[in-house]
Amino acid sequence: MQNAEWLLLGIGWLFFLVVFFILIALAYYLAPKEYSKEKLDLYECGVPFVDEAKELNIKFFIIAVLFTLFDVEAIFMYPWAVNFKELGVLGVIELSIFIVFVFIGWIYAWAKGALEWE
Amino acid sequence: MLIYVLTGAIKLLVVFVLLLLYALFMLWFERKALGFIQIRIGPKLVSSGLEGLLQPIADMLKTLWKEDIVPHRADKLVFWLAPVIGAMFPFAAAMAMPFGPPLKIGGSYFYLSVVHVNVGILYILAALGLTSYGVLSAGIASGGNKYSLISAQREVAQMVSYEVVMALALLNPILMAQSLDLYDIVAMQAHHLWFVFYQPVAFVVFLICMFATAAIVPFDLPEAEQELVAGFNTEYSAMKMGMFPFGQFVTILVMSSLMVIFFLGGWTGPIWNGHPWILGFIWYWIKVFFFVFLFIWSWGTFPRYRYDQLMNICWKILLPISVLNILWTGFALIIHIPMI
Repeated sequence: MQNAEWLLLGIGWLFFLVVFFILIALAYYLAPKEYSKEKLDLYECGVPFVDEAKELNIKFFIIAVLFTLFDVEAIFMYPWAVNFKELGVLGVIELSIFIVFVFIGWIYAWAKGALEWE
Repeated sequence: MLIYVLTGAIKLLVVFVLLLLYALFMLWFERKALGFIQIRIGPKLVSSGLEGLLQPIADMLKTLWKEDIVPHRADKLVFWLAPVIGAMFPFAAAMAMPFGPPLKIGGSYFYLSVVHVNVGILYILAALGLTSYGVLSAGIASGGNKYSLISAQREVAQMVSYEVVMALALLNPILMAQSLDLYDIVAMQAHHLWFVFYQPVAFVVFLICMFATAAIVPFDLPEAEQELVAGFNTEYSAMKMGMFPFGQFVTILVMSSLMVIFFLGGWTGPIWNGHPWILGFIWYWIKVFFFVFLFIWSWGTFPRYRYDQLMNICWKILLPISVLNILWTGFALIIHIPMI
């Protein structure tokens, strides 16, 4: 039955994609279109434009890398949680060792200043 | 299999309509509740007998006929795609969200969610996580608008940071129920106390993450009006702009239902042990709507955190607390294993 559920999820994603696209396309079609050069300028005028690729702050990339690391670590604990009874005491001990490694990584990131915002 | 997919498709349509109605209701409820908090009246004139309940429908119709401006500097394809993505993934997450207790018909159960996958919580977290793509692409496609870009970066960094902590906080109830299936987790709580009594720390951590991932007021840095105009959707107009709050409202609903299912016993209540079905349904929605209201309440009550404070709370306080909490839960469960 699980296969049917995942098929249904795929159908649902496509359905939402199409419906929402139709909704904004419909709004675009219904709306008046009296454009002029000034109207098509950026709404937030008066401030200089930025170059998207260059203006992304490096801090956010560091956060993204940390997210990847720590989220994988969080997801890594999920199978353990589901099979908790089977793994028993040994599982908890192994997870403790794993968490020590997580903490070493976390302290390293902090010491390197990855968590600081000025 | 075919009949199964057909029932699912019907459920999908019903859920879609319900979510749209819910989003419209929230547009009204948000303004009304905020008005109440700020000692104003709020929307009142449209359908005056119903306290302005039809206001969002009027707004919606008006939005459909508003001029739709795509700035000429914008990246057209991504600019069009961003609102669709931003609204689509919260709705996709809501597909796995239970809308009530399972109905027992004959010998089998009828589940009140579009799909019933055995890794429900992983799916919901993944789908909600993908919402940040909508925000990020909205900011990047805006054609070099400084404020859109800054706001998009902020929101994505905030969402992903708190997602780590949220996954860790949700691990504690999962550890106690030993299942990723939302229905199993509620069934577990029907036989024991609610998980909030076993896991108060995880409850508080998840409560904070709930506000942060939905970008609601103590953590609404991406939409800090004083600094960033209107946030990542500054350049958007007409229906495209309307899609983002739609997505946000559905995110709020999904978050509230996760909260209720994981910590507050889902459809179990003090005076309910499985029958009648309708009582469980009412319990569930009372609890969910309490949290939905809590979002708006905090919206009208709290001031905003600074961005460095926001990130410090997440990475320096909540992360170690929730990791240690998991370890503690593990040890406690090993000692009390006959209990579960």
